[in-house]
Formats: sequence, C-alpha cells, structure tokens
Amino acid sequence: MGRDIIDFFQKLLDSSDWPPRWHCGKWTDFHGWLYIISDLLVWSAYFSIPLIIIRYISRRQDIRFIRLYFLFAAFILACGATHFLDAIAFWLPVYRLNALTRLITGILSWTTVFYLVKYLPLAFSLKSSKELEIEIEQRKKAEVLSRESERQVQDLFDAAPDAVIVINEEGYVVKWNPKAASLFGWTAEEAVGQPLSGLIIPERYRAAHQHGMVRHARTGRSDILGKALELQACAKDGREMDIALSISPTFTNGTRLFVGFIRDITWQKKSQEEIRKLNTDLEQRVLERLREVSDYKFALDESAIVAITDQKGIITHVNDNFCKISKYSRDELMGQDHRIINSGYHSKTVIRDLWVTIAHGEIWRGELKNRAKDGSYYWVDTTIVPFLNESGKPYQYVAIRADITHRKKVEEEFHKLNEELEDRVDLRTIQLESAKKEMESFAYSVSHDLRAPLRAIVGFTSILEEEYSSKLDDEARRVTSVIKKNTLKMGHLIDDLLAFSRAGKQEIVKTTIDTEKMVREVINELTAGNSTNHIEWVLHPLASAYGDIHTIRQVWVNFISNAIKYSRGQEPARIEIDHFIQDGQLAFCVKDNGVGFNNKYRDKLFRVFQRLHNPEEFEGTGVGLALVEKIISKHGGRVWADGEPGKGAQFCFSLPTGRDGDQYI
Amino acid sequence: MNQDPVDILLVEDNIDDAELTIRELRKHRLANNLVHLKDGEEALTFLFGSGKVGGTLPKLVLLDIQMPKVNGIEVLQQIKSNELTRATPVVILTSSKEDPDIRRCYGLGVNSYIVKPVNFEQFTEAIRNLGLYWLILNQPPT
Repeated sequence: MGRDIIDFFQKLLDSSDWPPRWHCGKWTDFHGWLYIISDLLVWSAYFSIPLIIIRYISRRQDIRFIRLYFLFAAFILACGATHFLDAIAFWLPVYRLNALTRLITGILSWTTVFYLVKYLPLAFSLKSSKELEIEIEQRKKAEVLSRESERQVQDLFDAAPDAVIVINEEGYVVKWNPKAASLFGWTAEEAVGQPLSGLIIPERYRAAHQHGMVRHARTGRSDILGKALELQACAKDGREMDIALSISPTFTNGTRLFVGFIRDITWQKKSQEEIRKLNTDLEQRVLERLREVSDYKFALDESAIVAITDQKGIITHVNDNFCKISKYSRDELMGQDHRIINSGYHSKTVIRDLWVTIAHGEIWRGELKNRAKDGSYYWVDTTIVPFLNESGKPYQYVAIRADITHRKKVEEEFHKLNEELEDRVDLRTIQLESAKKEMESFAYSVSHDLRAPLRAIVGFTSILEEEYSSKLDDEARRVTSVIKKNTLKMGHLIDDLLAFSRAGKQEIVKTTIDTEKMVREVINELTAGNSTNHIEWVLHPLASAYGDIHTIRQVWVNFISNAIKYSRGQEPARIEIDHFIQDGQLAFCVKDNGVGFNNKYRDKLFRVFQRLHNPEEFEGTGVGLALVEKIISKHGGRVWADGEPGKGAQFCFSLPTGRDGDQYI
Repeated sequence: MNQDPVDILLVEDNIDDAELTIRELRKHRLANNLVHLKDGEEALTFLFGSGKVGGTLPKLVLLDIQMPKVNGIEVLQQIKSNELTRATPVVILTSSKEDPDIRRCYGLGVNSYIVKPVNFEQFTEAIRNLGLYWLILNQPPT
C-alpha cells in the first residue's frame, strides 16, 4: 500500500497506464464531444464563479463570513478542476491527478458543508436587503425626527420663561439659556465652562453645594434632586434674589448631567409677604369686628328679648330671654310662627298693620301683649326690623323686645286707681250737690221759719207797746224795746246769712265794669242823708275791671261802707281809693284812717261771723267780708287786708284781667 | 160752713202771723168777712169742695207758701188753672225771698207777691195797703 501511494504520487502526471478515453469504450463523436463540451462548460463556469466572488469581496468592506466565501470559491474551483480533468481525459488520461483533485474537491466540499452548517443560523438572521432598506428609511425618518426634536428642545431651552442651566458632574456649566443670562447677568459665552458655584451661588451656600455634588457622585443620593426648592441666588452684579429651583439628573452620551430650572420669585415672595401681611391685618380686623359684633350680640341678648324669623314669619332664632319670658323651650319655638305667643288681645287690624309695615321694609314699633306657655300674659315693647336683600325685599325680621309687663301693670293699676278716683270724685260731687241742695233748703227754711217767729215777737211786742202802753211803766217799756231791738238784729243776721249763701250759688256774668263810675255811685248812695261826719275822699283814677257787675258792686258797697263805718269819729275821716297791678292781676284798695285792726287777727276778717269789734262799738253781723271773699274768689281773684290799731286799715281785692292769658305784668 | 159772702180768704198755718194779719185788717175794718184756713188742703176744699165751685168766691185770697199737706203754690196753681176761679186775685204772703218761688208764682199767674217784713211797722203797713188796694181800689170783673 505504501508503495502504491509513493508510486501514485511519482506517476501523478503519467498518463501512460490508460488509453485516452476516446479509445476506451465506444464513443461516438457526438457523445464524446457532448461529454467534453459539457465538462468544459461546467469547468469554465466553475472557474468564473470564484473570480466573481473575489471581485465581490474585494469591493465590499462590510463582508461577514469572509472565510466561507473563500472556502466556497475553493470548492467551486476544485469542482471545476475535476470537470476539466474529465474533459482532457479523452486525450490525456491523468487519472491519478484526477483522483487527487477529486479528493481535494471532496475535502473542500465537506469543509464547506461544515462551515455552512456552522454559519447557517447566523446567515438566516441576516436581514434581507429589503428589510434593510425599510430599516434605513426608518432610520432616516428617526434621524429627521431626532433633529426636529433636538431643535424643539433647543427652542424650548431658548424660549423657556425660567432660567435653565445644565451642569456636569463636576459642577461646571454646560448649557445656559437666554433667560439664565438675563436673570443672572452672565451671558452664555461667559457662563459655559465656568463652575456654577462661582456664578450664582451665594458664598454661604457654596460649601453645601460642593458637598452635595461630591456626595451624589459617590453615592448617587441627593437631598435636593427632583424637589422644588426655594433659596437665594446672586447675580453678576452681586444682587441677591429669591429663587425657586428644581434640579433633575440626566444622561447624555454616557455623561451624567444636571438640569436646573430656576425662577426668580423675589417679587412673588414680596407679594406673598404683602398678601400675608394684608391677610393678617384683615384677619385681625375681622376678629375685632367679630368680637365687636359678638359683644353687641351679648349685650343685646343680655338686655333684650330677641327673635329672628324668615320672611314668612317662621322663627329661626330665639335668645334665652325669649325662652325665659315665653316659658317655651327653644325647640318648641323653632319652626313656629309668632301665633304661638298670640294673646288674642290685639285686634286683627293692629296685627295686619304690623305685617304691612314690616313687609314694606319699614321698622314697626309698638307694645304687644303676648301669652306664655303656661297661659300667663306678658307685655313687650317691640321693635321689628326687616333685613332687606339686594332687591330691597325683606328676607328676615329681627324682633327686639323689652319686658314691660311691670310697667303695664303699674299703668293698669294707675288707670284703675284713676277710674276709682274719678268714681269717687263723681260720688263726692253728687254728695256735694246734694249737700248744696240741703244747704239751699236749709237756707230757705231759715229765711222762712226763723223770720216768722221774729215777726211774731216784734209784732206782739209792738202791740204791747201800742195798745197797753198805759199799763206799762218805764222799765217795762225799756224791756219791750230791748226785745224789739234784738229781734230786729236777728232779722238782719238772717238776711245777711241768706245773702251770703245766695252768693255761693249765684252765677257770675262777666262784663267790663266802669270802676270809677261804680265807685262814685256807691259813695253817693252810702253818704246820702248822712251828714253827721265829714269825710275826705281821695279818689285816684281807677281802671276798668272785668267781672260780674252786681256782685262786684256788693264788694264795693261792703269795702266803702266799712271804711265809712270804722273811720267814724276821725276828724277828718279820710278814705283813699286806688288801683295797681299785683301778680298779674288788677288790684283795688280802699284805705281809711279809722280804728284799724291788729294784723295778727287779719286771717279772721274774711271768715263768716268773725268780728274784731263788739256790736256796741260798730254794728255789723260779721258776714260782709266773708261775702266779699266769696265773690272775689268766684272771680278768680284775691282779697287781703292790712291794718294797724288806731291808724287805719286798707282792704284790697284783685281781679284777673279781661282775656285769659293776657295778664298784667 | 159759713154761707155769708167772703171778702178775704186767708190761708196761713202760722197762727201768730194770721193773728197779726187779721188784727191789722180788722183795725181798718177790712176783716168783716174773713175766713182763715190753716193749710192748703182746707183751702182747696173751701174753694172746690163738693158742688161749691161757681158759688160765692172770695174777693181776695191771701196765701202763705210754706204749709203742711198742700202748699200755697199748689193752691195757687189750682185757682189759676180753673176757668171759674182764675179771676180771683191771689196774693202770696211769705217769709221767703227765694227767687225760684217768686218766679214760679208769677209764672202761675199770682196777682201780688209780698215778703212779710220782720219789722212790725213795715208789716202792718204792707197789710193795710194790701187790704185797701184789693178790696177797695181794685175793680174785679163783674
């Protein structure tokens, strides 16, 4: 065998052991040439393929599996060589070379098969060119999009209303947007590449900043990332400002960066501070007002009975006083209307008037009688105030009441007492009237019944004197004359008494009186036929008076006759008559220089039957001045007297002037 | 009853007054045919008693006011309201000066109203004049 192999390779190109193929077997030309030409066609083709492959490989740089290409080229070349050797075997039968070539071809083929099996899955995963085209298209689009988005980001970055600053892990500025430039005064050119801390971080924060950066780099932790912070920053010119800051980490091309968004909140801070101050102030004022209102409410609740109703009169609020006086609990009152305390005392008209008033938005005031739960009644002084809405319509009524039950009770008692008093006055008036009637009938019987016996006494005494005088001695005649004199005196007394009682019931009719004329007439009347003593008259001009002509005349008669009587014996007797104004009244006085009187008795002068002189000295019944007093007081005037024993007396009376309210001053 | 013609009918409950009156009239011979009755009832019986009306009437009636039973005013009223007695002169002789009485009597048709004075001289004078006037001077209807 070894000899065969050595022999084989020694005689590798030796064709002498076999006839050319044309001569081996029976070949027709056609068959032989078909064979030869086909083999040659295969060989030429197989030889061109590797050339194409090599050319393809030499043109492409990104060829993968290049070994496989070469192996394939070698395998094809080897196959082609076998076909070539088969073709030349018709002339040159080098079968040893042929076999070797086939061996080589087999080995190459199997090597190729091995590699194909090895790389086939990988080859399958390779994209087809169509797929690759689509992918490329997509990539192109993505690239466009990416560029657009990048531009958008840049636009956003440029146009951002906040300062946007990007720094790297070392704290150096990478990006610096225009807002950052305007805010801090550093331009992007000045800022980029500079450490941030030197640009905007105030001295006091720099250490913390540095520390934070280092810690984050080492541990990846940070206290500030992703948070909104408020702190201070400084600008290029050193001015400090309040800023709101938020920092987010980001990765770009494998580098860690930090993006900071910064907003100037100095103004906002200031506004907030102002708003806070204003709020505090407002709160304070609201509190004060609330306190004031609550004080008012307290005062009102303490002092008054308060109820609030809605526009229909349904009670929505009552205070403690209301409950106390009405004796209803709050729960019993809420939701009710005021009919619950209606006493039925007031007429429907009053209640309707109340409602009409307050429904028109006007305040109603009045006194109301209400009925408590236990049936007792109480009085309240009530003020109802309507609360009006924007359109002027009442939406609720506030009723403020004060308890006046006691006052009302007192008033009622007062009223009752008054009525009783009136009744009593009426009764007294009736009694007085009947007493007056009795008095009149008494006066009548006095005048009638007392005069008759007097007449009989006088009459029979006179008969005794006239018809039996011869039988009477002097003493008997003196006695009968005394009887007659006293009887006549009693007659005068009765006459005066009757005149006095008549004066009380006589109606006075007031007219204007010519005083001077009246006085002269009276003087003439009283002095006629009386020439026994001389009287010096001093008559001043006298004002007209306003009174009853008959009774005033009686007064003058009385005063003047008294003056004449009591000045009797004076030589000369002097009587002065004058008038003047006193206490708004017209006063007249009659003054004499007669016996006068002691002033300590002057109160007795005007009382009936009171005399200061005995009848032997000066005759009189003691009725005259009492009659004067009665007449003048009926006129609404006054009488008074003034005297001195032995020196004289002055008697005066005053009368109201003519018209009411038009008095002398 | 006295059937003689009567000149004066005196109706007076006070016998003293009556005596003084009669005494004075008699002094002047005016009391010859005088009848004295003591109250108004007697007077009415005398004037209007059964069947007597229209018979002889007194020439003058002197009446006191204040009397028991029937007073003078009522007697006056009866006399003056009767057709037959109306013409008979009636003079009131009284102690009362009271206004209402005087008015009332004149209202009823009294012929005279005399207040008897306490003073005896004035009283006798009044009675004398009265008698002379009504019985002698005055001409009654025939």
